[in-house]
Amino acid sequence: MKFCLCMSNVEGKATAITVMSPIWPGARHLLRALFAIARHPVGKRGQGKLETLSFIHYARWAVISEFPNGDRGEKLKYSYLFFESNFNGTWDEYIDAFSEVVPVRMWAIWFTSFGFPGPQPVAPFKRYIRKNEYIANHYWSAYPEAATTEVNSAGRVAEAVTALRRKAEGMDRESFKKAYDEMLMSIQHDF
Amino acid sequence: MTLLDLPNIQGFVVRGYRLPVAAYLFLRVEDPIKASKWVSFAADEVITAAPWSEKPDAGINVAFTCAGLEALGVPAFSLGDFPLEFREGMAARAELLGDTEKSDPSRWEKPFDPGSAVHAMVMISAKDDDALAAHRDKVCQRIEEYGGFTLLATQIGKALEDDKEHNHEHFGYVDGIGQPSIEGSGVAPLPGQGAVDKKGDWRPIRAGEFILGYLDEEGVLPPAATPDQLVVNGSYLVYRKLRQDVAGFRRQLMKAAERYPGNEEKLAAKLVGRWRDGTPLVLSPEEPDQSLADDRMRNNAFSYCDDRQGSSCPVGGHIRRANPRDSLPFEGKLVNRHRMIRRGISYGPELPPGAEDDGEDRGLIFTSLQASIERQFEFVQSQWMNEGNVFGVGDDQDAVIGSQDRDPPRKMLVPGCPPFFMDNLARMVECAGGEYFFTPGINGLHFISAADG
Amino acid sequence: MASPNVSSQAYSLTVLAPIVSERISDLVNYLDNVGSGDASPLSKVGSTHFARWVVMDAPVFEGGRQRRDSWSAPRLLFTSNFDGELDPYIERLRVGLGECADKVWGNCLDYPGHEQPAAFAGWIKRNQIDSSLFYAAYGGMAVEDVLRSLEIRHQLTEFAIAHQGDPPDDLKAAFLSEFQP
Repeated sequence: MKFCLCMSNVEGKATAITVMSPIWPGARHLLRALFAIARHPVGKRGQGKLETLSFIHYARWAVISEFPNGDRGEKLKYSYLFFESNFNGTWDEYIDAFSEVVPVRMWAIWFTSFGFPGPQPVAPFKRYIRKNEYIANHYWSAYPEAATTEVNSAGRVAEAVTALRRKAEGMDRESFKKAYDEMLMSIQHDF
Repeated sequence: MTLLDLPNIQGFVVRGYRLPVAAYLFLRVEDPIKASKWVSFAADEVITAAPWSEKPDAGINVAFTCAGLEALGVPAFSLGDFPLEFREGMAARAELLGDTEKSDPSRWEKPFDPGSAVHAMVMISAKDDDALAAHRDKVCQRIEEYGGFTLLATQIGKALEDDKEHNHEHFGYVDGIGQPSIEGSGVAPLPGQGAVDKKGDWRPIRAGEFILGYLDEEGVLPPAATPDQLVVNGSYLVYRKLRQDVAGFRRQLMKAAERYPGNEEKLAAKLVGRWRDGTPLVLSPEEPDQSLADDRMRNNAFSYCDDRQGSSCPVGGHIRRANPRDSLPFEGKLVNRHRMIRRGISYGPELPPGAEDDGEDRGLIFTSLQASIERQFEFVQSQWMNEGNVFGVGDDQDAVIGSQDRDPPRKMLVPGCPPFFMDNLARMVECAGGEYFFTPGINGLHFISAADG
Repeated sequence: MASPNVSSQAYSLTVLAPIVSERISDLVNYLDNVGSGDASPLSKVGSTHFARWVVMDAPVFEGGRQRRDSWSAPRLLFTSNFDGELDPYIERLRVGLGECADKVWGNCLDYPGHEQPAAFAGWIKRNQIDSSLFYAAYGGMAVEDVLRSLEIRHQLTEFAIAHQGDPPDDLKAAFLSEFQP
């Protein structure tokens, strides 16, 4: 981080977080198995909480045991757990929420990382993430002013408008007004 | 449950005094040694949280900015441990707080104008104007005798009382009903105060959310500066002078009500979540209910579990934004750590109904107390008031105190059949100045008075 | 079994390339000064939701029982969340970034330049890291879908406000005119 001259982790309403932590010898096998379970349809049901948290656009984890290095690849002393995400709201709020709402998941993902203090209480957890965080040198978004909930809402609004548009031509004015009001009501939480 | 060390905590942290007039004196340290002697004197004078045998006619409390603590000789190792936002001061946080345009710190009035530094605040609370004047004279005299301080400015506050002794604020709403109840305070909680637990019951909030040195909602001590002597029993005080554009608010409401399928009073209620007399919309969505509003056992006893869609209290309504209760997922986990104690008081003369703007300065002296300025005050202001994302209302900002500095339409949606849009919302409340203070416990005051850099 | 890089039609690309040590300052300077938002070279790529470049100069050392690790070179991380398949995207990257790709990745080991599609794609893929787990809140929506939907939502908001309380007579005509199929 000594080379980073400007803080560019924020674009509009989106914040970038990039974290890399060294993990215990052998832990990569365990982590890979855990992630494989999480990818399985059974594990996918656990994504519900992430969705409900509703401020994450995208997130990814990777277990890296070998770095690309030209044609040779590079073996490292340790494997690394890599985490990258795009979210809305402040960094503190993000970590607070993860700590309060999905501590077991946080523990399962990071417990094999050296120095991990656990997800609760949140203060040492935040210090740990900060220590292992890399600040983006350049961050870009195609729609920086739209939060995740707005993107999802917009999808529902577009669908409703399109559906009404298709039916509209064939309706008389009274029926259209009724259908229009019903449409507004059905998507009133998506404005 | 730990009981609080009440004699060592400044009184207004734990309970509101219900004293209707106040004066806020803002001081700068000129001579630290002389000033420290006054702080030592003040340690014995301040109203503490120990139960009163008799309510005082008047009394004082004190708080300090980071610059003030430094000026009084609090050691550098201590100062460095205070949280970033406290050290930076409120003006430096303007972008986060939405203090833009008219609220920009470059326009703040004395003593918060650019370049000036407030070190200490003395809050005088009194039962009436005479008591206030008398006590204020006494306090000022004492400060002069000790020397050491310059008085930068004074702000007077006075509750607007109606004939039923309810405090209302300048936009006409009864204020101050929703307060968190603090565990261990000895103050009996009213229904609806506090956190919602898993079963949907109310429980008091852990003291550490408001007072340093006590366990917080995580079950640990809130992060605090060192040493304990200085910080335990202390709290952070946020002070903001909020100027209200009463004529503008009335005009905006009247204009929007022309198209609203309901009357103006109902629209006014929808903006806030309570009818102007304090009746919560959730309990009485169609009309105000004075007996309910007057009943402290009932006027705050509600949750949003039966109003998920906001048909009674809009999702973007002011009180719902300020305290979402059980309307956010995960059983209060996303809410309980963002509560604040509020101890505000109005200032300035009332604007008679129907009158044009008379150019008078009126509004609310907003003060809040919390263990973390960033996680509580700043969070609510920036993520719940000036943002709508977490409630599913996107860009929409609070209709009453929102900055309203974004691109049009600047709206608020009132759910219904069909939904009603109030648009072209303008800023009705501007910040005329403010700062972050530390309100020490009595032990802290002794530490500060003894510190000599 | 679907690639772990994929969620519905969203793809998570992670590229981690070694930086030629003497060039790290040039790289950092370029990234600091390149325009953001619409002025960013990434805005010319298309189908990209979010992307970032991160210079990772060294591994973090935790102390305790960990021995200090070292990488043979500092690393340049590139991540992107985009729509569709990898190969067409790499080609869009090559064409969209153009010379800017050279200004960034030209500071990395063995980078072949952006002129030759096969060489460029090969280099990107050799430096690619697969995700172990990828979460996408709206993996089914492409960038165009997102932008179009946001626009419609904005349009409908303005329309709804303007026509509040209108009698049925005007409403249908206005709606049909505002929202072309």
